Amino acid sequence: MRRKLFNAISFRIAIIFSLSTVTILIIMGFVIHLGVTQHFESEDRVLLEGKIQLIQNLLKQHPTNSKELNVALKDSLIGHDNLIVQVERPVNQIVFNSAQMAIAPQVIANPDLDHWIRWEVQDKNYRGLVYQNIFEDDEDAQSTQIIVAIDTSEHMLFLNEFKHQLFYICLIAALCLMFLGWFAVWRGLRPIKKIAKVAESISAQNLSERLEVENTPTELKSLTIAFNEMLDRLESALEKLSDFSSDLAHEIRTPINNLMTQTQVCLSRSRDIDAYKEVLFSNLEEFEHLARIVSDMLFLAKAENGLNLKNLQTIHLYEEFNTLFEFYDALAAEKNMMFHLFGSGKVNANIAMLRRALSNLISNAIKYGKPNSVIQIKCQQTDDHTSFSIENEGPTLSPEQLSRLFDRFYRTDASRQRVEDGTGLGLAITKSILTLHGATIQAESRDGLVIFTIIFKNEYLPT
Amino acid sequence: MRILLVEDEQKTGDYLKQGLSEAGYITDWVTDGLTGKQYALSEDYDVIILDVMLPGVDGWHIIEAVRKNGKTMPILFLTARDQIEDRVKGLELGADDYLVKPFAFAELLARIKSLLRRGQQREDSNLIIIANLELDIRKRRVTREGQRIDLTAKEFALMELFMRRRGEILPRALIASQVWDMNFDSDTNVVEVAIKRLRNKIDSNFTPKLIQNIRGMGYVLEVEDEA
Repeated sequence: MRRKLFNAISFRIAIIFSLSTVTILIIMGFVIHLGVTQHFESEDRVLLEGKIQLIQNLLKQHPTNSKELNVALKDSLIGHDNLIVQVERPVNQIVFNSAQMAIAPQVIANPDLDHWIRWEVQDKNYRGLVYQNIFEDDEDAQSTQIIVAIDTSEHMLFLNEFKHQLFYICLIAALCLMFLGWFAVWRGLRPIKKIAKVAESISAQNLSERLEVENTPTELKSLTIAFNEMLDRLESALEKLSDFSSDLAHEIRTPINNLMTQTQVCLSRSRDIDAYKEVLFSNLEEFEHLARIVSDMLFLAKAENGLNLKNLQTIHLYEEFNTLFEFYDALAAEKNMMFHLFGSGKVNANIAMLRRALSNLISNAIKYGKPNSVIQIKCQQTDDHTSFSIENEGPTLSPEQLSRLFDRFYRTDASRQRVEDGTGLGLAITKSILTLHGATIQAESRDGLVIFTIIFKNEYLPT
Repeated sequence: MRILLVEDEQKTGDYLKQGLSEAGYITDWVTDGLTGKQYALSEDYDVIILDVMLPGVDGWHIIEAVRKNGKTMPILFLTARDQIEDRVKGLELGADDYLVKPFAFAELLARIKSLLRRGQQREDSNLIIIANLELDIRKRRVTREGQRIDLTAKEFALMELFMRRRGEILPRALIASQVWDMNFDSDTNVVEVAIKRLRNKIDSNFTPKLIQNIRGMGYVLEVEDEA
């Protein structure tokens, strides 16, 4: 539970947020407290210095210690109950004292002329100044000492209270900010919750659901886009898969249907042994066709999972094509077709797989090529890639046909189902083998020519 | 010739046993790994045919046990799992050959014959004569009734394969692999066409007809009188 709480982004951010505000508030509190204290001090100083000035003037007006002086001094203190004053002329002979008990003896014993002197008497805090002067223009040349002090207990009380108030304000502010921070983050993270909700609702049935990019916060935009793109990919893969399953079902249904009908018709009455034999042979052919579809499918599945690309070796196209020509020689000769090979090149590939890929292309070229024509294979090698094309004369294919040429079970002519025993997977296998090798294949068709161009990148080719 | 067949699938086992028996082999069929192991270790068989996935102990284990016991008879395993790792594992454990299901029965027979032949001395003569057909391997020359027949290099290789393995039904895939080094199920009827052309050259103007098409299985070179 504790761990879970700490793992929450909102909790962590709230903690960081409140810690930093508490720090800032504490610093601010200190500064304010210091400012107020200094303000009181300077105010007191101005007041006390003014009094000293006043007393000095009075002393000047009354050069002798008389009753009038005493009265004048008393008058000057009216309205300042918190002030105490002691005047000595000469030093140590007290002329006037407003509160006898209030001045601590160590003040007089040890007067500091430049700084505040603080003391405490009878639970009251005092802060005072000591002023000494020699009247040089006076004949009597009597020196004076003036001690003025102010009772700061009230100030202290106020400051203490102020300190407490500051503390409570800080505490409440910190708590508020912590909550606000958590709330802000919680609100801020709502788009993430939305993403999670969409993700939760997605299943194979409704992959079309997408997140809104427009109103998403900038920080989450890339995540949202990546998420949507992932859904795009999943959707198209799933679509392909389901297309493919239905194609497969259809493709398998035909031979199974043949098998069932033939067998049922055969069994409907008794026949001679040759008729049974004929049905068994026909069934065998259907089974072989089914077996080939299954093994081609397995091969495709493996090739598309990127498996099996082992034993790469440098293959010279010239030799490889000649091997294939020897194999297809008889078939081509039947249609009086010829092979012409131009140029040369080498590629890095698994030989068994490459042979399978190329053999599909050549077999197609013979199957769909015009009788008495020439199948041209042109190889070319540059520094960074090896390309070759396989070209046969034949009916021009439309762009629509070309775009679907590498799809599984696709046949350019729907009525030519199962022509010459093919599974309809040949070009799909060719393409997946080439993709596995990092090569590309493209088909084009014009002016009665069908051309397949294959490009191998040479980065895989050892030099 | 005695064959041990270890196969747990009832129907497959039934037909394999029937097919093998009809091909002239004495066949013992067991349906689980433990019995299979016991038979393989106690009896002397000329060939063992093993399914990999078996109840009790699996095929790998049986191969290992047999080889550990010092028995050297050829072992051929059948697998439905077409993974290279599987094949490599089987061959490493001491199996001699494998077939991936589904396979053609003719293919199985051809493999068994080739395994049985492996131990024997191979007749490596330079001249093979069947009926009135002569094949001179060194001179690369074919004559029939004394008449010279011109063959292309691959046609010659094909002819040689048929003559060396006379009487054996050769499936198309095996022919493609042996003669042209095409080790996959070819999409086309290339082999058929090539054999048709060969037959035109060596059989059409002569008797007896030597190369026969066994429908759905493959081709065989047989002198009809012998059969």
